[in-house]
Amino acid sequence: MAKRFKRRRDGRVVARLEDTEIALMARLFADVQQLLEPDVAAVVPSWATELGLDDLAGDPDRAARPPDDTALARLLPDARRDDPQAAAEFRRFTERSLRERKREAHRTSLDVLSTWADDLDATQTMTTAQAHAFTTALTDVRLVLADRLGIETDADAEALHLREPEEGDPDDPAAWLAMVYDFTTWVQESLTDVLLSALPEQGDGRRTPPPV
Amino acid sequence: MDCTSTRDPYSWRVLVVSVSPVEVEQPSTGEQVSPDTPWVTIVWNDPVNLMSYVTFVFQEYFGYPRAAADKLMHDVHEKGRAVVSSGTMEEMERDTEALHGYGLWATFTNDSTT
Repeated sequence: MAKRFKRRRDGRVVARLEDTEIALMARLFADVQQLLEPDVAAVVPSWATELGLDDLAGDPDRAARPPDDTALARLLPDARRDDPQAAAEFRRFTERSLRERKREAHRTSLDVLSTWADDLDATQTMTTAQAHAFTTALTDVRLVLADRLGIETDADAEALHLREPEEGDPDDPAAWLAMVYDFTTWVQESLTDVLLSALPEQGDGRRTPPPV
Repeated sequence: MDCTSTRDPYSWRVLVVSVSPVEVEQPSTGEQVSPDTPWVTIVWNDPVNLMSYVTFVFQEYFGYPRAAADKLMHDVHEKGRAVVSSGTMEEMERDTEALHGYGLWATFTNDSTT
């Protein structure tokens, strides 16, 4: 079983994951990274635009619509709820780069895992920047798993967490997903605690919190 | 967030469904900037994000003190939403996009009743 993350004196974050856990997480990161690939239908090639053939070559409005996949729509949510037109415009201009930034966090996390998998006897460490990417990518993974598990409310999440262990039938895909969700929750909680304790208690003064 | 509370009546599924091509044709109402209604970024509760992670994001991204980040996290969790920053429309666009990068469910608006 994995052990809690720790911070070493030199500032690096230390993990202790089993090889099967590393393999599982690599698969999850790779899956979500693939889910976040640019939507081909939303990309109209420049030659088509030049020839005035946008409608034939692609769906010009696709880039302004939320993804059909509910999990992907949660990863790339509307930025406005009071103004659908503004939400569509915002999506048209930002979704592609948001996908790319998210994919970058998954790439970083996969690189870290692959280093650990290459030498299972070595101490598993990562930089703070890598750890930030790791916990952010884990959020995307958990959001996708939660969507597949039908977790829509805090009560759903609580019920999943509190279910009896014997309900976990390894042959039942939903039970397996639930186990994976619990595991990734535990990993993220442990990692986030380490990252949170390193941030300055007083903040850095860049921004002023909104008045209460 | 990932522990029990009341159900958020504005599930994001509803939000996705509401953005149909037909409604996209509606005139925009959010472009008038008045000094009395500054733009704000709102973070909405979701059942997945950990309380510690949400606090981490508010501290890491905004540089807020721990106590303020914690208070905002609790507001999101208990009230279903919290205004986490305010400023110009451009700044709120940037904050919203950054918070989406962290996997938080954020929106921006200049309508305080939304």
